[in-house]
Amino acid sequence: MQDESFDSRDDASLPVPVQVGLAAMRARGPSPEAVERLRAGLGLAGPSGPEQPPEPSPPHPASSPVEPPPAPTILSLPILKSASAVLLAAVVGGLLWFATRPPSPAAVFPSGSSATSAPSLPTLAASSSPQIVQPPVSSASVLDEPKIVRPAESKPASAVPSELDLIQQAQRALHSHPQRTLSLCREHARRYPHGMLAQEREVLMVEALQRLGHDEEAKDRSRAFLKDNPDSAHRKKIEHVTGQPSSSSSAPAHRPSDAPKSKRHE
Amino acid sequence: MALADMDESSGPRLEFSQVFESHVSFVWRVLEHHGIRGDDVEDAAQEVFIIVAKKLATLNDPSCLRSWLFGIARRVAASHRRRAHVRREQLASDPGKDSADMGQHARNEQVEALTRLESVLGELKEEQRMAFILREVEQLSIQEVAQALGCPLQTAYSRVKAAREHVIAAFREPNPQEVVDAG
Repeated sequence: MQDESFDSRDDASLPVPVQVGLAAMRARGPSPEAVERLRAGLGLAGPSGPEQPPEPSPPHPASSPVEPPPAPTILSLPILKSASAVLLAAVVGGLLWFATRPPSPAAVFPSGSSATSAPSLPTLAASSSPQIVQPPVSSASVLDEPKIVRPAESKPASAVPSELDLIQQAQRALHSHPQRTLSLCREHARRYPHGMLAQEREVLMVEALQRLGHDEEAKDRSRAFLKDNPDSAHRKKIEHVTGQPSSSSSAPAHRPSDAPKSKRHE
Repeated sequence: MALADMDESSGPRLEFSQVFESHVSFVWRVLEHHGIRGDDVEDAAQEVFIIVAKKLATLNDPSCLRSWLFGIARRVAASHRRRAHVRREQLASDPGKDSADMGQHARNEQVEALTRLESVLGELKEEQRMAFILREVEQLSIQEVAQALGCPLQTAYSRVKAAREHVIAAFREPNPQEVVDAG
């Protein structure tokens, strides 16, 4: 019923600061302690046991053919981390420049590398088998992709890309370069697993996967997202994107809504 | 049949505990959108869900759940405001609390964007502001917005549209805060 009447709305049509403000508003909610007190006051059963959300859901390792190999071990070295931050800042700057250009990938990336392989105008129609073979993407390729950097328009080289930088670029690339959206979202997941825009990242990843024809992975991710965020404001959008009326039942009773969002203190 | 059990007398029935788990954040935000702040939010949320527990069986169409919850939360908020004399003006800005809530990843630009958006929304008529919030923040369908606000579909559309235009236009202007800083 609701899905049929869903009139698609798109944050991307709003100015970026508005998008950020919206994300901040959506991120609001009761603290886990407040939820516990409410449960107690309402006579509801609490969570069944001390569930410690182990890791942020975003990485979902080994769940997809395009998932990058785990890279954090290397990047956890401080010196490499800062070096990669510099590179990434430059990349984000390049992307910023890129995103403002007309969608002409071949001209923008003279190196003709994997950066040009993103399909143009991928259809949203669900194709049963992915026809688009994407080159494996890793964190390294994220750093390597854009060969052109316009320092004049990029952030200062010393700046670590902010959550906003990454999500903003990922959002801009979605329609023309969903593969790049994936790469940037993965970068965001690595840097800001619990970031304020984590839900936006997941939605973007689902949309990008769909555009790339990876329907199964998109559905897996959307299911995981809805399970972890049963009351997300993005619920309807996720359901709409994947065409799955994944019911609220995807959140089992023993899995409280606050569990994945914040660490429990007990 | 998520969220729902079969009830012989009244058809599909939502289960209270799952309604709570799935929508406690939504209700919380709706109360905040209506100007409830601080400890009052928790008290009001408790009140909302007590009503929900009592009346859930009367809700026959699960697709109306969010607009139904919105209606309850709105009435509870109004009642709380009257009792606590919470002034409407408090709604627009409480940046100190917001920035504290955002945790370690908080960045100035996010705090600024939030504060500015709330300020801009505060300039709107209440029905436009709420239509925008339900549509753009809570991402309800336009039908749900119309249900929640008790207005025709077309009215809901035009309220959201007017609010969006106002917000977009306001954000085209330089941020007053930045202008002050630069000066």
